[in-house]
Amino acid sequence: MSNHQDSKIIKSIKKEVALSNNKKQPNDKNVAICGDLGCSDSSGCSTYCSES
Amino acid sequence: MREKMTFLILPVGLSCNIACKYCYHGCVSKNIKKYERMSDEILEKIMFNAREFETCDIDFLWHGGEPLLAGIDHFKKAIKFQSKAFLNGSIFSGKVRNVIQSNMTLFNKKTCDFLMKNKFIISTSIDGDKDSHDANRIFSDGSGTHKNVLKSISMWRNKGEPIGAVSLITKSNVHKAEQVYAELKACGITSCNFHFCGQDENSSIDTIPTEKETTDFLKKVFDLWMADDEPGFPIRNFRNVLRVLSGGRPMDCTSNINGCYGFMSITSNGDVYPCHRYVERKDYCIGNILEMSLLEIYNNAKDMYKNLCSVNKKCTTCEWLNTCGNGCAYERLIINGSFDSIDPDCFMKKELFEHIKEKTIDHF
Repeated sequence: MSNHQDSKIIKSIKKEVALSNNKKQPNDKNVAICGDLGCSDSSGCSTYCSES
Repeated sequence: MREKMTFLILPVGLSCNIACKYCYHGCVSKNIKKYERMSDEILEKIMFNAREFETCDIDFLWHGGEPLLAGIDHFKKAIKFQSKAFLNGSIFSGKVRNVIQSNMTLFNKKTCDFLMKNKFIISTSIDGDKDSHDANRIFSDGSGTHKNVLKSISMWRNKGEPIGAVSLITKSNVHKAEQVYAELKACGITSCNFHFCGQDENSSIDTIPTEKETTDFLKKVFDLWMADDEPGFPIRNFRNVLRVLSGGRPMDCTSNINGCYGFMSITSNGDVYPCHRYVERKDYCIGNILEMSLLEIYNNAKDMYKNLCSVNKKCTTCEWLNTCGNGCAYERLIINGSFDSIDPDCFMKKELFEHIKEKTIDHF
């Protein structure tokens, strides 16, 4: 595992969280249930369990 | 009014065409010839009632049992009612999506084309390599479902659409972290979420690994996932933790303290429950759609939802509360006997969270 600062996974998650925090979404929006229904990518997650 | 509601529709109740050994609903597949399909009247009521949640985004999550047992004509009717309810002069202002959780063993070209045309989002279940999967996910004659599932995933992926999956951690795959991870990446799914094999009263105890085996498995898979560093293959268990470490919140109902509030489940006879996990537990039935609208049922059940979302006093001082959300309310009830008890998976989750924090601390 790399411990350097340029993890693509973490960068994409930070970006996604920053975007969703900017939208000031309430805490209970876009919550998914048991399955993994397609949350997909780093572009803001366009599907079910996402922050779209 | 909430901003999002998910209506879990069980068009054939809990009936299923396969007989997974660990199923929390038990062996209802034995009754496959007797299953009751939801009537057109109920289907229509669901769609027209749902639009009363007029400012919400709505997901219709087709669940079961196996929802595709209802047949494609049932889904065609649903889409027809849905279009009628939401498109013509409705005051509804949210977005509507259809999502299906299917074992994909009944999938064929006709189903594939229909779901594609109507923009369904699909999630399936696959437990890794063939041996791990077929050890538990079997037809009633004992034969495995792995081959069928792979064929269906391939058919859907050939349409260019993503597909998520649930993978259970069982005694059959818990010592094969590398192989399971490689197989999940190779089989065509585009995201996944690992589930703990529960101690539900219906599931077989033979399938449940120890807590230590389960956490060791997840830690190994996390390390492999981070080493791959491929954001295009998200694993929700890990993303949830990294999202919280990044200042966000988790993405699933069981990891959010008030996660239960956004769900209602309607079964084939019109009975409504706060979630599909309570179906057929009459104490938790909150109404019937033939007698009351979904909005009325929801508003009348506020005390039930509040009860479901109870947080144990000990959890309020835990640094991980916003990451675990005290877990699934149903599992707290079934395993511990009360909603305000501590998540039965607390130990395993804490171990995983600590591991993720330790491995990524330099990034935050």
